[in-house]
Amino acid sequence: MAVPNSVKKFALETTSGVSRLMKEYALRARKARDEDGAKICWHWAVNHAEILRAFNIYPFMVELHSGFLSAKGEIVKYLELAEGWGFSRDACTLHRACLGHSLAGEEAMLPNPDMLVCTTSCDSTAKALFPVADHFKVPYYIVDLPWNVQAAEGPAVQEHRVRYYQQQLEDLISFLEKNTGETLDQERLRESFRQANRLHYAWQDIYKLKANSPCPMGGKDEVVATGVLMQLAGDRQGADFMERLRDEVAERVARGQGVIENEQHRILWLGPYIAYDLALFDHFEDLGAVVVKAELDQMFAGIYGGNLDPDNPLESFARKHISYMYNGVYENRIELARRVVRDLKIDGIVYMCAFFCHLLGGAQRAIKDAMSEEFGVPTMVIDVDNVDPRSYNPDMMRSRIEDFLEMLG
Amino acid sequence: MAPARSHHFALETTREVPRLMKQRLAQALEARAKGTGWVAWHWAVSPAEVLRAFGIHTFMVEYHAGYLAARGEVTPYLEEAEARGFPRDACSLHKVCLGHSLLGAQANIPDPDFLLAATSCDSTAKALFPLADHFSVPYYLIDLPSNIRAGDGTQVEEFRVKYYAAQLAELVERLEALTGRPLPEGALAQTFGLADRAYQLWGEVNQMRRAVPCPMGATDDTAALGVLMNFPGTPEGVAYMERLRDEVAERVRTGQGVITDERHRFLWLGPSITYDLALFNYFEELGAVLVKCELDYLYSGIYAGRLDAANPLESMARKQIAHLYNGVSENRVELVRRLVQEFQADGVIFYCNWFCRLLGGTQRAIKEAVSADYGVPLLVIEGDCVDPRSYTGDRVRSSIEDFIDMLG
Repeated sequence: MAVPNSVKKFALETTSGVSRLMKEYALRARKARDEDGAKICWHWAVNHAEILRAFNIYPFMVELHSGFLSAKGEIVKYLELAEGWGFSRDACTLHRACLGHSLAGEEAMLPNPDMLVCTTSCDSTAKALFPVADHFKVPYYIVDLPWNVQAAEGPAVQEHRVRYYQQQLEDLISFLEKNTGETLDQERLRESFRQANRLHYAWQDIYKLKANSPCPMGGKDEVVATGVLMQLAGDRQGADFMERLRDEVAERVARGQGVIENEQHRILWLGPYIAYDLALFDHFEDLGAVVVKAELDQMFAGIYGGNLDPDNPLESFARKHISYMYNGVYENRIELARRVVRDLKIDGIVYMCAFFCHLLGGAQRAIKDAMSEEFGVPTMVIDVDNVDPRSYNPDMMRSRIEDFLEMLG
Repeated sequence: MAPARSHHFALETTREVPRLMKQRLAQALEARAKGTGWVAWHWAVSPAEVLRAFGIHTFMVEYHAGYLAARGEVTPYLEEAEARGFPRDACSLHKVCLGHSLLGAQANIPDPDFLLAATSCDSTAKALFPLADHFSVPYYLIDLPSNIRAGDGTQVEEFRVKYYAAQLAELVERLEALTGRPLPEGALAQTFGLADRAYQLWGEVNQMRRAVPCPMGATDDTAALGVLMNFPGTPEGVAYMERLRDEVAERVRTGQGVITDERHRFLWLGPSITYDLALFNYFEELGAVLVKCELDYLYSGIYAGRLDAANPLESMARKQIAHLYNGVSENRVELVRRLVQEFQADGVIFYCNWFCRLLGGTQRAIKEAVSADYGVPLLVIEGDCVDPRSYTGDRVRSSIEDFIDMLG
């Protein structure tokens, strides 16, 4: 069992406000549902929030909620509930927690859904959707995400895959029209995409600012800001938040203010975070290293996969989704790591290999070899579950990090 | 690690399978030595019939991993793959194949000239890339659309069929480039015709297994499955299935069952425990016969639909997309419903294969369906189908005894 998740305060003022932002969003959703007939839609990680927001729908991402429960140290009872119900212990922990939480009948930050939408982004996702759909007796839509079989980014994705995906997006819109009683408002769709772009572009600005030494924003702040990317794409308040964050990061750069004073190492963190031990990021900092960049945010907005086009919403959406870095051949993910190592002057990589995740796992050898050969940058692989603390040993983890940083010199 | 236990077959025809496999290997090696043939490795859900139409010798990697496990030889390969950085919780079948390749071992599988896989699960493609790197050979990866709606082959939506069929056409082009000659005229129709014939014969065998007493159980089913996996679209495959069909028919005619006093009839869902096939015989010692397994429906297409020699690419697309593990759970649940009814099963064993996202996850849905619809109980056994390192055979046998006692 992990140590309590006692993180030091965030480096940035703006990220301290994420918790309040999320609570306000949940309150807004409940109010809109109760007073304005809005619908609540749960979606899985590779999501369509920008399209959902073209309707009177409030999207919530189930994996973010599982991470939230884990960070609060409240997840084990939900995992046990799902396992007792018959969900395999070696199934995705994020999805198991969501199922257990649903079965427990507790709302926490997540209002009960009126509908569910997911993609076939991994083997687990659709299998996690069905019992939740059965439990709540709500309609669902599954979008089949084509594989990015060739190393291809945004515009280079093959046309027949784009068409295959786009056709389903049109079908998704019909599903949403049917289940909201609304007709798609094209201007509202464009506006949602514009707000999503504000959010994504501000995030990309932050990425560039992180190239500075000392690094103005580290892994812990990035983790909580990623929650905004996950939950508030297409929402004006999400975009406002990210621009405030960008401005604060820019000010820190102007002042030369880093996460720590004596920055000896700049680390790239690949894979998901250890949600129940975010204090681990502090441990890096205590040892003179900053986790300059994580990777998970790039699923939602980043430097690989392309951007949305409000004037060509569905095609641009299809290209962005198909070419996100975990979908398809390794080369996409390797290329992303390559860019980050080069752009942000990384000298060490931590590859978090989440137990039981066949989507993110399996590429460690390829990435390790590529980063070592091309940049001479070493990779440390850690095997652990990202939300289930039951087999975690925090002291051993810290000891391994100490060894790795000592090896870096 | 369990002590090795030996299994036995009920049928003469299934004892032929090792010889067939050896012949197939000898043919491939001979063709390679003469420079007249190519070898392709393919993964479980892939259109191997198309390879056969080019005269390519096909070998299925998961079958090979099961073969090594059945011989008790798998652990060094698993350890090699893990030492090279393949996660311990990755698919063991694929880990075995990778470790075996990296060590340069050749038992029963010649090195490939070509690799063919589909995105049928998260693990498949991840197992393909390191092998393609290791052997420096071309590969083709087909993106298998998910079967989002419940239904068999005829129900698959047109746009998904077109998406898949277009990739098959591209695969044909790649194979023409590999072999340096165009697809021989009529070859697809001939191969698909033979494949369909073998699958129909297998369907007849299954039809006869509904008889009481059941003439053929799971041990023989597992061995025959190897023929479905490795001889698609070949005269040898058809000839074997004819012999099998005839032997099963004779057993039905003479009232010869797997056991003499058949008190229970069970379904086995999921893969077999390849390093302990004797477990199937253990059921028989307790008066129960595993009358039907499920894995063969990946290949025989009884549920998903038939291959059509006149319309090969579309029929292949429908068959692959509608295979029982692809897409919504309802397809698999519906198949199990039919099997319970048709085979008069009074118990279901669900083998939940560790680390397999494709086959796992539906046990609760199936359990509820067969319990609610037929009052049939389900026993879940968890384990790894090829990795024996955490297996305790006695404990599994004990839970089976309890299950049968409970049935009365």
